[in-house]
Amino acid sequence: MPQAVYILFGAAFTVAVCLAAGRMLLRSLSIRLCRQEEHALAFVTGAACLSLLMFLLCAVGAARQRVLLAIGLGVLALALRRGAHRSCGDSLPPVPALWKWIFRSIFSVFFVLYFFNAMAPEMSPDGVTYHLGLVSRYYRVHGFERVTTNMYANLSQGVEMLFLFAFAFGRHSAAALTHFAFLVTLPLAMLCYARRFGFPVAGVCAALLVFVSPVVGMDGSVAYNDVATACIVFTAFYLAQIWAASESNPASLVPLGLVVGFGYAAKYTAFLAVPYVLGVVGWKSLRSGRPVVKPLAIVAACAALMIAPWMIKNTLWLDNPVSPFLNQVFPNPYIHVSFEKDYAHHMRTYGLKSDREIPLEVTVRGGALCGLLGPVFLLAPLGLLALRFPAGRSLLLAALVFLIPYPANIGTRFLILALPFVALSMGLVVERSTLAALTLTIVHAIFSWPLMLAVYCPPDAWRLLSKIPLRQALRIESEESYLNFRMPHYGTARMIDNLVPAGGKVFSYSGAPEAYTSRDILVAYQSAFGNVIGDILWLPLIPEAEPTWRLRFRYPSQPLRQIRVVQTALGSPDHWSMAELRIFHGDKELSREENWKLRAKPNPWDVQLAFDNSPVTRWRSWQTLYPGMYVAVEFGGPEISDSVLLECGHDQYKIRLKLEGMDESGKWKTLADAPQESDAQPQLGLRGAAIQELRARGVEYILMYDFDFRANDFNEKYRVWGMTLLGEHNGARLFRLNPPEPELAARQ
Amino acid sequence: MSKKYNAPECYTHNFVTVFRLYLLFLTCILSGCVNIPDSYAPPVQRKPLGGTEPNPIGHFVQMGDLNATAYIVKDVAEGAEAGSWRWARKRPELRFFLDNTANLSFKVDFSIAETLLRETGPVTISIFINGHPLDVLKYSEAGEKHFEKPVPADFLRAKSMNFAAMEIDKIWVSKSDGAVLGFILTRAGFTQ
Repeated sequence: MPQAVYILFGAAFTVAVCLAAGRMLLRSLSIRLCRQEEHALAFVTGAACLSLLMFLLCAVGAARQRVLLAIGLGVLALALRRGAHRSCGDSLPPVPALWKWIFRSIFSVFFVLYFFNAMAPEMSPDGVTYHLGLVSRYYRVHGFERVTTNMYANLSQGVEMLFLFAFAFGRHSAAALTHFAFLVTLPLAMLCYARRFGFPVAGVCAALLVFVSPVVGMDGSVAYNDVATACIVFTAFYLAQIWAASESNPASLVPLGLVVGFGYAAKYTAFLAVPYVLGVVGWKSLRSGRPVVKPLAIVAACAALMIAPWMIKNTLWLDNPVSPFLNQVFPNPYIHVSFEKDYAHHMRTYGLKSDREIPLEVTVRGGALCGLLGPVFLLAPLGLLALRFPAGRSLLLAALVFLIPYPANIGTRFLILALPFVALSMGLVVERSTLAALTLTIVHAIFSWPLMLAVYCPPDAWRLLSKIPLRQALRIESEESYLNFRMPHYGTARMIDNLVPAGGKVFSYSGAPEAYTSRDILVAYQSAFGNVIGDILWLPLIPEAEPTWRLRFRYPSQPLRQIRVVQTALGSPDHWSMAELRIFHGDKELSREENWKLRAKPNPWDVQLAFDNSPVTRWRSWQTLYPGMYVAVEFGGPEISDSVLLECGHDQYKIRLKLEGMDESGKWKTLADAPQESDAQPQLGLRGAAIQELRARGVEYILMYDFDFRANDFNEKYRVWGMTLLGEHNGARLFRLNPPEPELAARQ
Repeated sequence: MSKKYNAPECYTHNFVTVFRLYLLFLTCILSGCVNIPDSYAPPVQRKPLGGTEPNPIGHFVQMGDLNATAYIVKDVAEGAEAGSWRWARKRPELRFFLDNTANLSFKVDFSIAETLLRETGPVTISIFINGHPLDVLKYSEAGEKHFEKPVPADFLRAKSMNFAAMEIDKIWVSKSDGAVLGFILTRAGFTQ
């Protein structure tokens, strides 16, 4: 059967199951909805239910195609039996004829554009690395597995659970089409909301402003989750408004709570939907003199049902319910505090010189911040005039709430969450003037068409191609051919699959399209483990990191129970590190006994790296300097010593160290206020030692891109490193790490 | 007064307090799940890279090092100038102890003095490793020079001393005291 059929089936089946589940839930709760709005609200509510179900299936390792097919068919059969496929309810107030025509025309044209882009082979940067990389991993193992080396696996993945359902039948493009379903649902929900509350023209205008916005179209037609999250959050807002307007039917709080929780499950940034909706429900209940606690409890309980699974998963596997964030609050060995800070800093700046560049970047340029909303959104401040209307005030409050996380990540995509509210506010302002509303909508549509974008956007702007990929979507041109042509490192993923045996672990500083390989790709920046591997490999290449700096603390010979080296300076960007800590009595180093107890603060988990006798591994604080950091040794009993030697790299210029010891009476005292400094010669063989350390950690392959730091050293001296070049594709080289020499000789 | 005391603010206050306590409790519970071990035992010890006892002579030397003279076999000045370089004469020779011989390069940083070059004209420096010619370098301009070239493993001897010589074809001889100067040596040795 043609691949296109599988793709369409996968996506359509997923959407149908969501719709059916949602309709059954809404009708079983006797929530009175109008005919048109029921589709959108049922889809999102059902998606929340399916997502939760998929989580449970993944948790028990039952995410298999047959199981999903049986469950999906079961849901559809039940819905048919209950008559959920039949429309019911009143119709929403009509849209004026002109605006109906405008909406249908523009919506249809962009629908076709987005549909074929979504159906074309998936090649979005995040889609092929982690959104679908993890989905394909879960599908291979029929559920979750404990992944501690990829921070993206720690994020909530509510939408990816739906992708997994679709992926089981239609693979990558079916997942992208599932996201496309949310892209279509969002403007329809906005229009329904506006019709229900009496401003249909504003609704048409706003729905189109959002739907044709270049970043929304781009994001919604690939396997990302921003548009889906915006759709979920808007649905939560919509359900809250319905609840508030419909004499507060408590039954409608159930889907409201589920959808609010689904927001968190979809993306952490949507967590604000929870306090927002709780605030709305509490405020409306208080104002109408009704009980407050019960409705709040219903919403909170339903939201918790959606949120808790993700928190519990992270707590059990990663010691941090909100990993990869808040690692200082929830210290853990899987994500370094320094990484979180660096990552947060990058997300706050994206390399922009000034925040003043943001308005133009997010509306017109679209390069540095990855996408553009369209020039019309430069008029977004006009939406403030909607404060005159009660609906405008609700919308602007929601916009304000969902803009709160934006400074933490200034990428254009992160504005999509608030965009429906901003657009509706703008619609409310212009709806009184047909000319203004028409001009705004049509100009936006023209300026958002890919051919026009090519005229005024820089080439690096994240946007759809000018040409609709019809042949590629229908797989008239094969997926392999298109991806090889369009995606620079699709061939790299195939190379990995061909050259690395199943179960092989590949280390890379820059990642690979994981969605197209079944091998485990370990990326340097994505975990503490990856950070350490990356540090080991770089150490032979950075003279300042080589442990040639000798810091020796001398003190009168005496018996001690414990010693600890304490760092007393405050400063950044240095981290404190040491390759080895050696304790001497005279010229003789004390042998490291099994009953020694090693401790460190922070990063206690890596303390053994300072006691393994390897010059290429080092304990690092992985935090910038603060007073009170220490590395300590507790002996099995009192040990006589008179000096402590630290072997360090010079890349920690701001450290200040002192040595403390615990005497036989258990009292701590300062043994030396500062160390004597000297330098040793660099050692030979660091490269080979680094490779063996990687092998000891289960890494047997390295993928190096030409643009990686010091890639030339790996490419030119791979024999010195102790590696074999297996293959090369488009500037990416795959190396196998050779066993140590004696082992190699034995094999030969 | 009594009515005011029983007004909803009190209810709200209690609710907030209870909610805060709940959050605190939840945080404590979640924090309690964090698995921070108290201490670790020393791990398996890696073998030293060289595999032998430390030798005062290594694979690389800076002319400013305190023990640089231990590396010098001949034709290099006794004292370091400015703590970092030494005059080399006709055929300076250095020795290095190597554990392994695979994948090594010979690296040297040196300079040719402007004053000397003006009198001698372009010079040629031949490099020998254990007597095997490694390369011949021609210079017609003064200044800092860097040389690095892989050394065939069969030129070298593992776990023993290896000798590197750099022979300059033209030397400068002082007319006043007969001092012989070839070039300025900063650092040399074997690297990977």
